[in-house]
Amino acid sequence: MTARALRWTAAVLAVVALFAVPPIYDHFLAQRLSDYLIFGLPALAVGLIAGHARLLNIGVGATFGVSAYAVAILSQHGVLNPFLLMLGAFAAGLLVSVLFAIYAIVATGLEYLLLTLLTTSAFAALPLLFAGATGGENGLAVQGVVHISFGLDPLVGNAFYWMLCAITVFWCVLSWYLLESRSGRVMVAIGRNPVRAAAMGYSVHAYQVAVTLYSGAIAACGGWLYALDHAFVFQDLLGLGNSVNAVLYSLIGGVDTIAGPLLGTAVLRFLGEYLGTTQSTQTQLYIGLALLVVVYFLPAGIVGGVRQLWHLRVLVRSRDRTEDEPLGTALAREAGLDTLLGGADEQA
Amino acid sequence: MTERANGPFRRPSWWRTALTALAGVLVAACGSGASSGGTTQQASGPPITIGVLDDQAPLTAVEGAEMRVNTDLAVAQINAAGGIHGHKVNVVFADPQADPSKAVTLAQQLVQQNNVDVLVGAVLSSECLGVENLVARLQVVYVSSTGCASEDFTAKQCNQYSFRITPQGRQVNIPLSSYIVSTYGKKWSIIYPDYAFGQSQLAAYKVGMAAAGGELSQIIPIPQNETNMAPYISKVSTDGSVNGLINSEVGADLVRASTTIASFNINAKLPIVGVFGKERFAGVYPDSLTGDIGQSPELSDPAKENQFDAAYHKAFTAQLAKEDATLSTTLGGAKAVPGDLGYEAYTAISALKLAMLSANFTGKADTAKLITAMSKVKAKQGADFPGGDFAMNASDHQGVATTYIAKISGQQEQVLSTLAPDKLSAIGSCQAK
Repeated sequence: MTARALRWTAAVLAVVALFAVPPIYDHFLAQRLSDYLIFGLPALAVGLIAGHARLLNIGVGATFGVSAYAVAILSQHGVLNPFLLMLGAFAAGLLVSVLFAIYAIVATGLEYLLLTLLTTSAFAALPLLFAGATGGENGLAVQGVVHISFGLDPLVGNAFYWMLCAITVFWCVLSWYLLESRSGRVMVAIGRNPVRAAAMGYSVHAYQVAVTLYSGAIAACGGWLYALDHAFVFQDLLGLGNSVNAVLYSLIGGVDTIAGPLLGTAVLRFLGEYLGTTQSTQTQLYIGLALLVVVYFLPAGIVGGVRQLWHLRVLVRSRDRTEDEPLGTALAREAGLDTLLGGADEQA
Repeated sequence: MTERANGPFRRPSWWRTALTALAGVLVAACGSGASSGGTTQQASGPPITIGVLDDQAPLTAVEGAEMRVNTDLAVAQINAAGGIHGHKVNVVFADPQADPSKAVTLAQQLVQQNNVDVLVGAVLSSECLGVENLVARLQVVYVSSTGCASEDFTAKQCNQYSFRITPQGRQVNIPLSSYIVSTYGKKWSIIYPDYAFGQSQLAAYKVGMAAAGGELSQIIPIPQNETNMAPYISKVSTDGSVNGLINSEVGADLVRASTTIASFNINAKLPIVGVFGKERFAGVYPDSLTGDIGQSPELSDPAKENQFDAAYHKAFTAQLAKEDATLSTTLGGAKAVPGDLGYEAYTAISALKLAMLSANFTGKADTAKLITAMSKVKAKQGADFPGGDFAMNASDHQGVATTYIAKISGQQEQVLSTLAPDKLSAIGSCQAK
């Protein structure tokens, strides 16, 4: 079996397992995974915009939160049509993304990062400024939860979970397709070296705007689903904490992969819940230590680390057949140290 | 809502019938030969499990520690007395880390996976309002504990499953305002932290003052985390145009504000109304708080004539010694007191106990009976409510309790006025359905 066939088989098995295993294993496992999938979407958005397009956007949480608030506010005003609410959530999220897209045009690097960071901080203050509509510091309940979730009760049965699975798989497949397409490769190239890409005739800003809006749509989708699932929105959803969490989930799972951000979300949120229910005084300390360990030993994230190990395995096997490259050089190349050490050719 | 009944911990119904019959025979046997006073029943039935959302984040460290110690204490006392009609009470703690999203997720997990029979806790208003919204869908009784000060909990968003024991908002502000207006005068100055909490305090005091016939004639907002309080505090009128100062700052801002007030000698010229309770200061009041007037259902140190409160404080100290050392350190070690924050947690479990006993509660299947019993809980001052009398309002599920208006003098608290529960007004007109 080729590596490509193996990857496809693994992906299909993972999707089948995602749909089938949790409901069979335990009803609550499906509900817990629902939470991971919802928070996995903004993490996936971070992976696309920061990991592939190299736009260090700290504002994904703002997009997520604005969409969630849009659902809550609209439902409080009697809008209970699920399709209208979905459109409202996407429209609100995309509106925020347009702002970030403008930043991508007018700023780069640290300046861009700071703009997204400060904008997110500003968004966190919105619920307090409009406390009458948003509930202020107290948060806001979502009305008609089952009706606005297309009749699927998030607390009962598995139908809502399966809807989440389908939506997540849709975004993953679409993201994979886009990344594999010519446009996706151009976007990655722009992320690596925008000056060179521009010299080759590509419209750097157009691609950056497109990826910002696309990742914004994914984060907005997460916010919409969050409002349906939790039926309650609050100020912290808009704040830096939520945004930074999405970045952390993405980094821990593997920022330049599709599955990594989802896996990172599941791992970190599970860790928090597990520590929170087994002992309740040092949760944050243990999570901090776990993060340090992962960042130190798996700098490319969990999926990235597995991918590197796989490459090393292939490399070592191929060396058994051809020994035209010293092992140390090959390992350094795989670990990305060859450039740092002066290039593989020079070492050899 | 039958998961608990079908869960692995539930024995078949014939077993319960046999157990009840056996218990009846044993009780009858005891009653015929021994004095009924002071007997304790051995906990033997299937346990009743309470899920507690106890925040241990830095932001809620004191509230979380008080909730943990006082919940453990109240539950240990219930079990030592034989449990709830022979059913031992177990507690499952979960730490939402002051994150409302986690609070909702953990509440769901506690009910649907850990099969708890009742939910308690969640410190932040946004957490407990989120959980309150959830429990109506999970159909499980929820009692807020330490914190959860938002009026909305019982004023706007009330539902039949949710209860709050401690008086909050205008229930506290209106009688306090009445007292200070009638005692010191009608015109008051207020300093408040200029964000949501402070603004809600300002609004509550405006309502309280209006109800008492007074007014806030000088309003001074102070930015949150302001390190230099002098420009703001120096604006407070001390020329006789106001009769006193309300200081609604909290946390580090409160310490800075009260220190600045003392340095300007304002506390010698005007009565100051402020935050109350030693537990917020690791058991020791800063000198700058001397002269402050506050309101609470529980004094930091028990009154000598109140044997129930003395016993409660003693039991609290003994319980603290059994807890994690970090909790003890957070609360001030040997100086730690339960205070208002701990009392909220202790009385939340006490109210649940009384309702469970009254409803013959055995598990989540008896939720409807528990709701009815909780709505009617009424208790005189005693071991369950050592601070004073308590009554639950059946319409909005908001409790009222004896509260004390007291003045801080060094490390002492001098009681100025005692308000009976019926003197506290309702928060709103919410109907818990």
